[in-house]
Amino acid sequence: MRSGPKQALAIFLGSQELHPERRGTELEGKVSELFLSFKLPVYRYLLGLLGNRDDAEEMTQEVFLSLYSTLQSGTRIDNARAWVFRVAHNLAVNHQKRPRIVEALDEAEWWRLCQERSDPAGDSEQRLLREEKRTRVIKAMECLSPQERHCLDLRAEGLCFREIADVLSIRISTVETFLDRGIRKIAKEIND
Amino acid sequence: MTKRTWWARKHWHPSERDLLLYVNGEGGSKLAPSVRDHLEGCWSCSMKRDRITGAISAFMRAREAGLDGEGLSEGAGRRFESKLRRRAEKAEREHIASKRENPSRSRHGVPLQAALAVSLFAVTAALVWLRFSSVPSVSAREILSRAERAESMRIGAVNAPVVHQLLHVTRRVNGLYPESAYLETWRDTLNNRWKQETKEAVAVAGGFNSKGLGSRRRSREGDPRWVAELEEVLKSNNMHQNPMSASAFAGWRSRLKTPVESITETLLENGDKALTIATTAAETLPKNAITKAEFVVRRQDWHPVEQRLSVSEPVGFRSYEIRETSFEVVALGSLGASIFEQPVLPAPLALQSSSLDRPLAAESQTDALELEIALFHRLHQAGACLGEEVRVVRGASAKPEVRGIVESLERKQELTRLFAEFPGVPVVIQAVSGEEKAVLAANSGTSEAPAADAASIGTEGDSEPSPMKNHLVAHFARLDLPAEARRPRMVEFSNQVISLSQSAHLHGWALRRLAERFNDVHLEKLSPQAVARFRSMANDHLRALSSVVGRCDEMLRPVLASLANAENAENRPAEFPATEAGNWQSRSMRVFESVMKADRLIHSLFAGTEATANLQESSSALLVSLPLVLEDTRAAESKLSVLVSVPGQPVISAQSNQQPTP
Repeated sequence: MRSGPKQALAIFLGSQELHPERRGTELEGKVSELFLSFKLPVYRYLLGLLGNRDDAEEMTQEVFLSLYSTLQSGTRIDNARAWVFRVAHNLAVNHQKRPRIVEALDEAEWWRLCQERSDPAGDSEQRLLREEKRTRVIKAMECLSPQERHCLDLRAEGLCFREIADVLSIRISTVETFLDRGIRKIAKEIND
Repeated sequence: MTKRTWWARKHWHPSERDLLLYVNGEGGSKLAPSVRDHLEGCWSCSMKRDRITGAISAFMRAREAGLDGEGLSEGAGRRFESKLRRRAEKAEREHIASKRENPSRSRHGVPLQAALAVSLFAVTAALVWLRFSSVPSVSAREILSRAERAESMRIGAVNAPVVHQLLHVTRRVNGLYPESAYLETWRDTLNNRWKQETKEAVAVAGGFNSKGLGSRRRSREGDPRWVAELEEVLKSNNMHQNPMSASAFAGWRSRLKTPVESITETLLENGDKALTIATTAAETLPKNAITKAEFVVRRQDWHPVEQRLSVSEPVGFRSYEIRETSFEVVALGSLGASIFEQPVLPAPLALQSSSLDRPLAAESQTDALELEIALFHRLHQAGACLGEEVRVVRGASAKPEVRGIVESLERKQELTRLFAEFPGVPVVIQAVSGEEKAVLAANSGTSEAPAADAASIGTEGDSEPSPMKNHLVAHFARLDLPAEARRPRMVEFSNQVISLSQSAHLHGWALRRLAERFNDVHLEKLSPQAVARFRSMANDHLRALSSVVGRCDEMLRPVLASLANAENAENRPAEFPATEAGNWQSRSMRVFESVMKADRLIHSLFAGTEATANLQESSSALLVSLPLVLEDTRAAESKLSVLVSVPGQPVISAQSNQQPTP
C-alpha cells in the first residue's frame, strides 16, 4: 500500500461529487462557502462553551480547516452542518480538558454581555420585569447540566434532534430527555 | 372501533415529551396531527405547550442578549481564507511530491508537467496574494526583542531613569465580581530599586450578585486584599518588580517547557494597532503559576500596553487583566532621592490609600475630610496641584498632612507660609538640594522641557527631518509670510501646541486626583462650604481643560486637516452618549483618559519621530480626540453640577485668574 500524503480519489460533499480536475479550487470555494454560512452559529456555540472570544474565533477557523482536510482526504460528509458542530464540540471539549486555562463564561461576563446590548424598550417597568425574568432565566441556566446546556445551545442554533444526537454522540431519545429537563428547569424558574 | 379504543382516544392527552417534540417540529407525520388536533380542544394541554414555548422564548432571549452581535472579528474571514489557501498549497505540494516519488502514477490522467505548472502558478499567486493581503508573519521572540529594545531606548534617554507606570488591574474569579485596582510602580533602573502602591479603582464594573441584577458596587478606598494575592502571583513568576514589561514576559515564557503560542493582530480601544502574543503552558504547573499569558504590544512604538494572566487553580479559574494607563520615564532627581526610602512622599495616587480607613470617630472623620478639602483648596490656590510634587496625605494618626518636594527654597517658604494658618497640620516640604537640582537641569532637555522638544522640530541641523516638520514647512510656506519669518512662526507654533498639551496633561492629573480622593459618600458628609470649595477646584480644572483643549483644537485643525484622513477626522466615533452614563468620578476619569490620549498624540507628532504612514493616522486620531475631550469635559461638568449642587451657595473660583499654562 502506498504511503505518503492522502489524496482522495473522489471528494464528496453531501451527494455532490467534486469534479476531479477542478477539485482543488472547487473544494476551497466550497469550504469558504460553508465557512460563510456556518461561521456565526459555530462561533456562538463555541463562545458559549469556552467563554473566550479569541479562543472561540480561533477554534471556529480550525473547524473549517479540519473540514477542508477531511474532505481532501476523501471522507464523505453527508451533513456538513452536523459535522462542523460535532468537530467544534469535540475541539472545545478537548480544549477544556487541558489544565485550567480556559475561563468559562462566568456570571459577571454574561451580565456584562447582556448589559452591552441596549434595551430597545423605553418603558422602565417593562424593562425591570424583563430584567427580573432574565435574571431568573440566567439563574436557571446555571442549574443546567453541561449536556442539557449543550442540547439547548445546539437547538438554539437550529440543529434538529437527530443532528444534536449526532454532534453529541448520544441517542435521539437522550437528546429529548436533556431538552425536556432543561426546558422544565427554565420553565420552573420563570413561572415560580 | 371498539368502545375501549374510542374511550382511550377521547381521554388521551399528549405527554410533556410529546408536546416538546411537537413544539420542536419533531413529532413526525403521526404524532404532530394528533397533538395539534388535541390542543385545539384541550386548554390544559395548551397551557402546558405555552409553558414550554415560554421557557424556550425566555432561554432564547437571555442567550441572544448575551451572544447576539458577538460576531467574529473583522479580519477573521481574511485570516481564514489565508490559512485555507496555505493549507491548500501544502496539500498540493505534498501531492506533487508524492507524484514525483512515483511518477508513473497519474491518477486522473493529468500530465505531470501541466500539474506542476499549475501548482507553481498557484504557489506564486498565493505568495503574491499573501504578500499583499495577509499580516506579515512575525515571531514572538522578535516582538519581545523589539519591545525590549524600545523600552531600553526610552529608559536610556533619561539620566538616572525611574520608570513610572500606572496600571489598571482587573481580577476575575469564577463566580465572583470582577474587581479592579490601580497599581502604581516606580522602578529605579540605575540602583535596582522599586516601589509599588495600590489603590482600588474608583469605578468598578457592574457585577452580578445573588440578590439580582444591576447592582453597581460602590467605590472603596484602601488596599484591596486581592492585590496581595496578585503580588504573590507576580512574585512566584518573577514579574513582581516589573509587572508589565517585555523582559518579564520573556522571562516567564522562557521558563515554560512546552509553550503553545500564537500571535494575532488586534486593535486597541483607541484604534491603535497591536500585536498580541498568547502563550499557554501545556504542562501542569503548581499553584499560583501563570498558565496562560497574553501580552499586547502596540505596533506603533512596540510598547507593551496590556497583559492578561490566567493562573492555575484547582477548581474554576482566576485571571488578571493588567492595562497600562500611563507610562513615563522620569529622572530620579525630579522625584526626589527620598522616594524609595519615604514611600508616602511623592506618591500621587497611593498616598491617600493606606491609612484612610484607619479608625477615627465619625465626627472627626468628617472634620478631617473638611480639613483635607481646605488643604487641597489651598494647594489649588497656590497652583501646586499642577505638576508640583506636593500632596495632602493622611499621617500616622489618619489626620491630614502636607508633604512634598519643591524646586526652590523660596517656593518652600511660600508654601509653608500659606499653610501656616492651619495650626496643627504638619507641613513637611523639602527643597531639592543643589545636587538634585543639577540632575534636574541636566535632564531638562530630555524629559522636562516641552519647549525644547518642540523647538527641535524646527532645527535646521536635523540630520533626519521628521515628516511633521516637512508638513509644517509646507503649511507655513503657503501662508502669506516673509520667508525669514516662517521658521520662527513654525517653532512658536510647535512650542505653543506642546505647551498647551502639557497644561492639559497637568489639569487632567489634578482632576484625576480629586476624583480619586473624594467620592459621593465623602461629599454627602461635607458642609456646603467644603462642597463649594471642592466644586470650585473641579470646575477650575474642567474649565481650564476646555479652554486649553479648545485652543489646541483651533490651532491644530487648519494645520492637520489636509494631512488627516478627512473621513476619519469628520466622523467622530460615537463611543458613548455624552452625558448619560456614569457618575462624576467616572466621567472625570474618562476626561483624564482622553486628555492623556490627546497628549500622547501631540507629543508623538510634534516631539517624536512619527513615520509618514503613522503621521496621517495620528493626525486623524488627534483631530477626533480633541473634540472628544471637550465633550467629556462638558459631561463631567454637568455631572458635577448635579452631584454637588448647593442651593444658594456661590461658586468660588480659586484659579479664575490663573493662566492655564503653568
